[in-house]
Amino acid sequence: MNKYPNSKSLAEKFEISTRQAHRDIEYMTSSMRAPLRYVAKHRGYEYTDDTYILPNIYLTEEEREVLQFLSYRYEQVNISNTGKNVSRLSHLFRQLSGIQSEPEQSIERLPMFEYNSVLLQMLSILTTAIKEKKMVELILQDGNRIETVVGYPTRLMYRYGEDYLFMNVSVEKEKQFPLKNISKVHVRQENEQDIPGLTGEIQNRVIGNNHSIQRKPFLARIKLKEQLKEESWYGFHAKKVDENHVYEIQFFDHDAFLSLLFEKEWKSIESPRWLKEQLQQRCSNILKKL
Amino acid sequence: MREDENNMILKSQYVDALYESLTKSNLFSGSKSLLAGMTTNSFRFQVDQRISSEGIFVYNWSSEHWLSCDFLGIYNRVGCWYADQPLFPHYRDYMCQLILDSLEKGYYPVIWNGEFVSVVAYDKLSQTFICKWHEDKIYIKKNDFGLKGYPYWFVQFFGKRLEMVSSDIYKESLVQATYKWESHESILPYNEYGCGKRAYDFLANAFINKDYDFEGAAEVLFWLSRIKKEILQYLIELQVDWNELQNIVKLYEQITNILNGATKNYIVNVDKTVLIPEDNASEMAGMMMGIKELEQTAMDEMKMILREVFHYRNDQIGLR
Amino acid sequence: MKKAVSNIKLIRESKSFIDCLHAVLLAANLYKEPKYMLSGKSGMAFKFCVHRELLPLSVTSYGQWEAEHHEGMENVGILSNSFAGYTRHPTFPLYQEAAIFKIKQSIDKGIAVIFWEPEFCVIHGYDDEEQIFFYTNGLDEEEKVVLYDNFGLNITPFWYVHIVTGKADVSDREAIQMSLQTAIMEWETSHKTPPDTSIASGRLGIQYWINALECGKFDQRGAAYILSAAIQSKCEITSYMNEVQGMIPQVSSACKIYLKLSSLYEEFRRLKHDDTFELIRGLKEAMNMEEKAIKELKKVTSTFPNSYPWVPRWGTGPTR
Repeated sequence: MNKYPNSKSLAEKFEISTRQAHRDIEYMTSSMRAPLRYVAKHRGYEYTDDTYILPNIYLTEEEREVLQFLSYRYEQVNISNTGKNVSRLSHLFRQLSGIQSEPEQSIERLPMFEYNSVLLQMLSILTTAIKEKKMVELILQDGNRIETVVGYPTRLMYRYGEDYLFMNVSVEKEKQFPLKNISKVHVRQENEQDIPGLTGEIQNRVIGNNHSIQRKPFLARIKLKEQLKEESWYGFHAKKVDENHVYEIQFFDHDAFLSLLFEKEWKSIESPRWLKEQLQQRCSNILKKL
Repeated sequence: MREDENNMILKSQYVDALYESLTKSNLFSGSKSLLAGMTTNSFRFQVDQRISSEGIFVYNWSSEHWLSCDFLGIYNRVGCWYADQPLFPHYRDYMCQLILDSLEKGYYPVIWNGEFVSVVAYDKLSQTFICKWHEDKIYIKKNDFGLKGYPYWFVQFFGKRLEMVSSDIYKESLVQATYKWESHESILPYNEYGCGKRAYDFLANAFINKDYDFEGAAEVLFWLSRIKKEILQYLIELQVDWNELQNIVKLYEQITNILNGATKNYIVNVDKTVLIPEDNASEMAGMMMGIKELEQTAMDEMKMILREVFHYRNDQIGLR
Repeated sequence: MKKAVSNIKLIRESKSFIDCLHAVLLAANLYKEPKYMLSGKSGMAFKFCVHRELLPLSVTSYGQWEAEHHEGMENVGILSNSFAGYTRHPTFPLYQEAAIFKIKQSIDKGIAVIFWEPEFCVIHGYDDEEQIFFYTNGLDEEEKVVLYDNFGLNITPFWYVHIVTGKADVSDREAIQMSLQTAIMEWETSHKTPPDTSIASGRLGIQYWINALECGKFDQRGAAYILSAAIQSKCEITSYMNEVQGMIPQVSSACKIYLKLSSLYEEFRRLKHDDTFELIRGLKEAMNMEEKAIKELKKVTSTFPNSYPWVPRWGTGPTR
C-alpha cells in the first residue's frame, strides 16, 4: 500500500469494492473523527494529525481471541450468503468501539458461532503457518485410523459448521482436511522456498461451497526504457520477461492502465493487441479534436 | 406405470428417471435412496385439497430438477414449457437434436412423458427414442416428443460432474430438507396446496371432512410412504459417518412404521385399483397428525445439529 | 483474431435488457419494429419494481430474470438460451465454460449476446488468441473487454447470459393479448422476488416509492434512476397502446389513460430535485390513474380466450 491510500488502492488491498472503500473512508472521517485530508497531488489521503490513532478500547486477551475468531467466521460466511454480513461485522465492531449505532441498523440478527478455544488455537497456529509459508505435520485421527500428513497449508475454509485446512501435500496436489480430524499440528522450520518443485500457491480448484473465484488480471507485455528496480511499474505488478526490458505487467482496471500509458514513458507495447488498438483509438480521438 | 410390492400402481418419479440417467452416464454410483436424499427429492412433499394423484407432480420442475443436480455438482440444463405453445415445434426439433447429441456423448437425458423417464438410446430407422422405464423399455417416436405428457414438455441434459465433498452435500440436503418442510412451493396457490408440514394439515383436513379423492389419496399415501422410506434409508447410510443422526433415524423409523400400518386402511379392488374408503378416513387423519409431530421433531433435530449453518443463513435458509 | 458482429447500436433509454435485446435483434435482422413495440409485446414495459429504500437495483429487480426474459421473448417469437446463477456456487466454472463456448458460437452466427455486467450489456465480439470478449454498455463510446477467465464475475453475486438462437412466427394478436395479461399481473403482484419483501412490484411498488419519499430515507441515485426508468416505461406503454388500439379497439380507453399518465410522469421530470412533496402528490395521482387503466385492461382481457387452467411447472421461485 502506498503512503497515500485512496478508495481504489484500499479496494485492491482489501478486495472490497471501490464504493465500499469510499464508504469506509467516509466512515473514518464522519463517525470516527479521523483527521483525513485528500492530497490531490498524490491522489490519496493522509492524516493531518500524525498522533491520531483509531479509537481503541481495552480488550482482555480472551476477548481479543474471540474477536479474532469471529472475524474469521464472518469473513468466511460472507462468501456464502447474502453479503449482509460485512455490515453485521462492522456493526459489531462499531458496538465494541463504543460508538452509538443507529437503531435502524441494529435490527438484523447477528449469526451466532460456537467459540471453541482448542479450535481457535489450532486456527491461530495454522494461520501463522500459512502466512509464513511453513511446512506442517498433521496427525490425523478418524475413528481408529491415525495417519501423519506433511505439506504446506494454503488456506482455511469454514463450511457447513466445520473448518477445513487446505494443504499442498505434493507438487500440484492440494488436499483438504477437516480440523476436527486433526489431533496435533507440528510446524516445521523449513519454509517453502527451501524445497524446489513444491509451490505453496493456491490452486484455483473448485471444491465444495464457499469458494470465491478470484478475478484474474489482464497481462500486457511492454518494453520499458530501463530496468525496473522493483517488481512494480507505477504500482502495477511487473515481471521481467527478457533482458531487453520487456515486462509482463498485470492490471485489472484497463482505464487506469491506459491513462498511465498516456502519462508515463515506455518504448513499445508487444501485447495485447486490443490494448494497442484502444490506445490508438484514444489518441486519434484526441488528434481529431486538435 | 408399474405395480410395486403393495400392488399399487405408481408412476415413475423424477428420481427414478434421474437414477437411471445418472448411473448410466457414470455420474452417480450409489443407491437410489442416497440419490433421492442428496438431491433432496425425497424431502419434497405437496398435496392439493382433495388429495388427488396429480398433486404428486405439481411442483417447480424447472428449478427443483436443476437444483437436484447442482447439489451434486453436475452440469445440467433444463428445458420445460407448454406443449401447445406456438413455439413448441421449434423447441421440439431443437430438443430432439440436443437429445441425440447428448446420447452421443454418453449423457442420458431425462424427459417427461406423462411420467419421468430416462432416454437411453435412439433408433435411427424408426426415429424412436428408447427410454428406460423401471425394468422395461418404452418407445417414443421423435415426432411425438412432448405429446404424451400434455400440456407440458420437459427435458434435462447432463454434463460433467465436479469433485465435491460428500459430507457437504449431505449437510446441504438436510438444510434443504428443513427449508422444504417450512416453505410453500411458490408456484402453487397457497390455499389450494399444502407443502412440507402444511401438507399434513391438508391431508388431515380432507380425511376429517371426508372430502377427498379415494383413489388419489391411496396413491398419494403410497408416494408419501415411499419417500419416507427413502429418507430413512438415506439417513441410515449417512449415520455410518455421522453419529448425531441417530435420533432422527429413530424418528423416521417410527414414521415409516405408521405408514406401513396405514395400508390396512386401504382396499384393493378387483381391477387392482386401490382406495382409502370413507370409513377409515378418521383414523387416517389421526395418523397424519401423528406423523407431522414426529417429523417436526426430526426437523428440529436437524436444525440443532446444523445450527451454525441456520444461524448464518439467517432468514434465507434455502439460499446456499 | 478478432471476430465480431457489426452494426450493434446499443442506446440506453429503456430497461437495459430491452435496450440490449433490441440492439441484438436489429443487428441480426431478427426484428424490425421500434423498441417500444418490443418492450410492450414482451411485457417488459409493464415490469416495475421498487426497493423500500429506492436502491438503484429496483429497476432490474423485476423477478427471476431467466423466467421473466424467456417469457417475454417467447411472446415475440424469439427463441433463446440462458445461463444464470450465483458465481459463488461450486458449479459456476462448468457453466462459465459452457457459456463462453455458446457465446462464441452465437457471434460466429452473427448474433450478439446479452450479459449482466451490471447493467445488461452486449457482447459483440471475441478474440481467442487474447482470450477476451469485446462488449459495449451503451454508455461509453469505447469498446470494453473482459477476459474469458473473468467472464461472469461482477460486483453483484450473480451472473447472467442470454443468447438468442432464432426466431419463429407468432401471431401479433396473441402476443398483444398476452402482453396485456402481463400488464395486469405485474400491477397486481406484490413481490416478484419472494421471499424478499423489500422489493415490491406494480401497485405496491408505487406505494413503496411514496413511503420512501415520505420518510425521507432513500438512496438519491436510485430515486433518480427509478424515476427516469418509470418515465421511459410510461412513454413506451403509451406508444405501444397507441399501436395496439389499431388492432384491438377496446384498448382505446386504457390507451387514453396511459397517455395522461405518461404526461403526468413527464411533468415529474420538470420537478425540482428537492421537491419531494410535489412528487409524492403526483405519484398518488399516478397510482390512481394506473389503477383505472388496469381496470380498463381487465375489461378487455376478460373477452380473451381463457388463459391456461394448468399450474405451470416453472416460475419465479426463491433462488437457492
